[in-house]
Parts: sequence; structure tokens; C-alpha cells
Amino acid sequence: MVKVVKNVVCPFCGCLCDDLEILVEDGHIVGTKNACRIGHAKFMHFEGSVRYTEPLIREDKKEDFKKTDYDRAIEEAARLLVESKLPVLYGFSSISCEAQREAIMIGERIGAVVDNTATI
Amino acid sequence: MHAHPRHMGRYSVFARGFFRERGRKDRTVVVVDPRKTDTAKLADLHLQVEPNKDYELISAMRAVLKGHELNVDRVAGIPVDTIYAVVEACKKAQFGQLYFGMGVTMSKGKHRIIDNAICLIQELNAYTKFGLMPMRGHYNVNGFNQVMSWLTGYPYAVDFSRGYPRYNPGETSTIDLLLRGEVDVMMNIASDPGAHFPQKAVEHIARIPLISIEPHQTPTTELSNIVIPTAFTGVEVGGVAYRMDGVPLELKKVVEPPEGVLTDEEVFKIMGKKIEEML
Amino acid sequence: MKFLLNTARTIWQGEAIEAGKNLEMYRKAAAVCYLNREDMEKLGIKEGDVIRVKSKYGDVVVYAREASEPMTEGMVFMPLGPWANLVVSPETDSTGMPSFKGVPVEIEKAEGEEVLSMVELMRKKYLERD
Repeated sequence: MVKVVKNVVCPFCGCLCDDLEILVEDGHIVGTKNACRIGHAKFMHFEGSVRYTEPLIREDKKEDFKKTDYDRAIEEAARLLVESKLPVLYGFSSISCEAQREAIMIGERIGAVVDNTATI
Repeated sequence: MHAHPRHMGRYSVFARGFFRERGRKDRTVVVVDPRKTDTAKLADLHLQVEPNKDYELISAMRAVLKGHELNVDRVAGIPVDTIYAVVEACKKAQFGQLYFGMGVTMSKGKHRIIDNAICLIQELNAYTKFGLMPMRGHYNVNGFNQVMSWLTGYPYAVDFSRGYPRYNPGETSTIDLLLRGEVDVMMNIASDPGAHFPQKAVEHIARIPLISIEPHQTPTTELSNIVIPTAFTGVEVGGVAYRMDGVPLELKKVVEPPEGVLTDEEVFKIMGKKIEEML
Repeated sequence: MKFLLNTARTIWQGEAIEAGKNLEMYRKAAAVCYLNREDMEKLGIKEGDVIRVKSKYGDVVVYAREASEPMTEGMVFMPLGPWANLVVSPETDSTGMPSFKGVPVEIEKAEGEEVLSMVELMRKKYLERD
């Protein structure tokens, strides 16, 4: 059974088109209506595209990643940030305002530079 | 057309509205671009400006608006008659809007170009209603600038290292900090500096510990030490985002994220707690 | 031959970054340089040939494509991405904003050379350079 989810807001560009219809079957997205080419690509899973579902970690960047759990990955990240002299938190433009707020609070607590893609 | 495929159809050019019943026919479109882009092909007037000459073009338009005569044949590669025509069209408009992209922020002159454009728009408002709006790339660039402004008073490039927020692009902006080699740890959040920063900045990122909050394999995750995947906002988790014109919209959750995958908000809450314990 | 390089988004590059940057689709969309037809004739290259783009800041090997959106004389165009980044200017003039437009570059044929995939490029250019 294909279910149609109406009035979906497109999370690609600053236009935030809010008239998308997304076709869902068995919990998977099978198609879109009204979306542009890029919006469509955002919702569809493309064959061969790598999506990580578990945190990854490595000491040396030349080595391969090892899988780890969220607790250890976040703990290590927190440690790196706390021990850093001048950390930069960068990005932010593809997450919700609620998540942005949490990350900015972290930046303030550790004395970081907090910057988003408007900088470039 | 390329970066915002539905912008013209849905909002700016073809959309029919109360005052513009016939859509495209009731509007005049002027495109300034050194390339004859697909957008320019749809325009009434295309100003094929020479590279790095945007500032001159705007200055010439301001001069014409003030009633001065241009004593040359061309400015920035554009015949002066065309410039007279564009200024006249802008003055006669009932409601004009300037949409700008990276051409005016990255060409020679940088933010001075947009400074000049803001002056032009101010001066045009002596004749008619005219506004300007940046074409925001990612869907929530504006949201971050809003949230940051509520929290600190500044829109981006905020430096908390002295314990209070400081803002001075050129000094506290990411690219400059990376080029000067001052950054010793970087956390990249749902973005891809590996794909969009100039080589010299990426070289520094490759040298320091890098944490990526990112679900896909990207140039940036290739350089990372830690990758923390999260659910896709607007697909697997809801939240608020700001449209480029400053209207907040509620994103929808359409499907469940893969089992066990946390949201960005959850990751930052846990990280905040752990940091609090360590400090 | 000398040109001024312009960079920006294209819809194909946009589609590929949302579909997956590890895909061949991304290399096809972003590891390219668009030239005006007359310039391709002068350089003696055709659609799909491998060329080297060189600037003061670095060099990169990409595919040549004919521009469907003609440019002012002396301009070439690359979509944003790790390939274009190797040649654009990092200079911000103390504004925080680098210069991705109007960068002087030189273009030559690079027959037989390999256009790196995203993963190879990041590894070779950034991780294994020293």
C-alpha cells in the first residue's frame, strides 16, 4: 500500500517549497511529487550511495574507520573539544533550529568559534 | 534555475498572485551574469557583466539614478543605453526585488559590492518599493543566522574564546582561521567543507582532529577522525527551518530513521552533558 | 591558453550531492570544466576530453564539456566541488569570503591522465601528500 504524505517541506534549498507529496510504502520512500530534481534526490535513496548508520572512529586519518557506538564516539568528540585551545564548530545549515541552539550552547561553554555556511 | 530550481516558478517570476494575475507576463526580469545561464535565457534583459566588474555596474546604475550622464560607451562590458533602460525599468516598477547570490559576495570587491547594491536599493526606494534578498543555499542557513542572532546578537562567525561573543568576519570567520592555522579541532555539522572550501583551508582541516556529524560519505568524512551519523532532518525527524525570506516553517517527519540512529538534537544534548562533566 | 575561471552550482552537481557524493554521478557532474565552443576548437579538444586546469593555487585534471550556457570571452566554468577547490583562490581580503570567481587559470590537454574520484582525490591530495 502506497501512502501519500502531503504538504511536506523540502529540506534542500532556501526556498523551502512546502507543497511536496512523498510516496511511502512499508516505511520506505518510493517516490515524490512536485519536487525539483535536487529535492527528489534528497528524498530518494540512490543505489550505491553510502549512508552511515553507526558511528565511526579512527586515530590516524590514513587508517580505515572502525565501527563504534554512540556513547564512545560522542565521549571522544567531547574530549577532543574540551582539550582543544581553539575549536571551530562549522556547518549548521542543514539541521533544525532546535539542534542549532543545542550546538551553539556547546560552543559557548567550550569557548569555540561558531560559524555557518553563510561565511562562504 | 540551477541552485534553486523552483524559485522562479513558485515565488519570483511565473507565480500568479493578487497583483500579478498573469504571472510572468506581468513581470520584468533582469539577469546580471557573465554567463548566458538558463535563467538569463528566460529574462527580458540580460546584463552580461564582465568578471569582477559588478561594483562598477552598480555604481553606474546609481549615477544614472541620480541623473548623471555616463560619458563612456560601455560600463563593465554593458552598453550604457542598456544601463539607462534598466534603471528606468527599476524606477517604473511597482514593486522590485533584487535576488543576489555568490557573484556579489565572491567577486572582486566582496562585501563592498553588496554594500553598493544596498545603497542602490535605498535610493530606488525614493521612487518605488524595492527590496533585496540573498538566495540562501542550504535550507536552513537563514535559521542559523536567526538563532545565532537571538542568542548572541551576531549572525555567524561568532568567537566565544574570550568568554563573550565577538564578531569580526575576516578574523573570526572559519576560512581565515583555517588559513592562518589557528584552529586545533574542528567539528563539522551536516556540511561539507571538504567539498566547498579552497584547497589551502582543506589542507589545514586534514592536519587537525576532525569530527563530522553527518550521515553520508562525503569529502569531509574522508578526512574525519570521528563520524557521528544522524537522522535526516525534514525526512526522518521534524523541526523548524527558516525560509530565505525569514518565514519559519515546520519540517515534517516522513519515515522512521534506521534503527538506533539518533537525531542531531539528541547527539548535541548528550555531548553537552558529557562536556559539562569534563569541565 | 589563459582564462578566467568562474565557479557556481549546477543542477546536476546539486542532484549528485544529495544523491551521494561517493557515486560516479558526482564525478561526472563536478569533475568537469565547461568551455565556450570557440575555445575548445582553439585548444583542439572535444567533449569529454581530459584537460588540466592550473592556477597559482594548484592544478586539477577534469573532463572538458561544451558550455550550454555561453560565457563572456575568455571565461571557463567549473561546478563547485573538491575538484574546483584545488584551483580557486583562498584569498579572503580579510572578509571571511574566499574568491571562487574570476580566478586566472591556464588550461591544457592532459590526454591519458586520470580524473580522480572523490575518495581518491581526498586521499591523494590531502592525506597522502607528505
